[in-house]
Amino acid sequence: MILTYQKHLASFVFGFTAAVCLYTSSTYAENNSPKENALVVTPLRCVALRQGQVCYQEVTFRWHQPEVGNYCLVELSSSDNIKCWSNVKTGEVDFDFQSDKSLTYGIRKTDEQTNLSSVHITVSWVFKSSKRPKASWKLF
Amino acid sequence: MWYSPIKKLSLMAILLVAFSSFAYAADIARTLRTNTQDNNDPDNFIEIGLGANAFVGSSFTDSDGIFAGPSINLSASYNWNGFFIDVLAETAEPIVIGYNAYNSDNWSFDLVLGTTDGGVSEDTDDRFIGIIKRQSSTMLGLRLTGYFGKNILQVSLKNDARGRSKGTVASALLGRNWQYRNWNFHGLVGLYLADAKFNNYYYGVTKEESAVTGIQTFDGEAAITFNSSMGVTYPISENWIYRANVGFGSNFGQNDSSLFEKKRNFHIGIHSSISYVF
Repeated sequence: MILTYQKHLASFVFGFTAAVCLYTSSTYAENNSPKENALVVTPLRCVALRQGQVCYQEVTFRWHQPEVGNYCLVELSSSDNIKCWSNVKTGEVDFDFQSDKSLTYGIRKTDEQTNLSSVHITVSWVFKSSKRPKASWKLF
Repeated sequence: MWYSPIKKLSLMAILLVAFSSFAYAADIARTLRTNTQDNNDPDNFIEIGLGANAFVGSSFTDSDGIFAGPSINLSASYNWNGFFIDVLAETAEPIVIGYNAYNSDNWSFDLVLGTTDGGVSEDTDDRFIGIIKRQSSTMLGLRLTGYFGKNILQVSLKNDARGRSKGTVASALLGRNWQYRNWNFHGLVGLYLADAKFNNYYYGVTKEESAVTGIQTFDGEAAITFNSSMGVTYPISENWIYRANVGFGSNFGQNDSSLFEKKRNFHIGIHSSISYVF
């Protein structure tokens, strides 16, 4: 009886693990086509185990502008270009997001500082973490 | 194989206690699994989950020493002004109340008070009818934890303050965590020493008990056991986490006791669960 039970349980544990792995590797295949003058990203959120940890998430940026031109996708806090396009009015790029804090990305015309549209990727966590007070004896 | 309702309940109780907390893991397992470092501990939380377990080892009740089944995971931690209470938080004792007396970047020193699970009683198995119930011990002691990057070293010394076993236990644990993308892995090895008084209270059989139960007399002696654990924790969302664990350890010294229906020198267990974190 126990052996039969274990057989079922082993299947359950394996299935359980496989389901979680499949969930975590899912590509969030939502087809969020951007409208005019828009920048969208999927997914919008990255979840780490604890506060302060680097969070990893494969994201897809899609953008659309009314006019054909030269555009760049930029991370706004560092002004680093993620990718630039020439003579287009729409674009898409897959990006490996890695950050311990939330970041905002924007679409700009090449060599210009004005953000035509922007989007925010939020980093959240399961366990909040805080520093304990240091170097103090507290024996009552 | 036939089980009485009491046996079934005992088996479930053992599974719930043994696996919900992976009791043979260690006081630092929670810190390792949440991938904390530099002496940062997670803030207050309550965790409730469902899991599946399989275990092979010594057993008081089962002739095979093989268990498998679902489990309910419950753990909680609350910290206030240096005081803390950990409930089923992967510690050696199910409930630990403590006070953090000293804290630096690399070292933490705690006074701890924890209650052990009880031992065998008449309810454990029909074989034990007439035996004196082994009650839980209240272990009072000291715990020193060193944080060196992703490595954690912890030594502890505890004595039965209530005096039921009058025993003393000591442990030395070494753990490390790794992060690969959002998967948080941990490894942990530990040595546990329980003195003769402690082991004799929980695993010994007196002549009087032997005369009533027919179980052979046994004098518990000091024993060192080895435990290890490897596992992974993945944040599914802000409130849900997935965990998987494998634990391996030795039972030398304790498993000589005639109380065991099945004696094995080593034990191994696997555990997989999904939990909601408040």
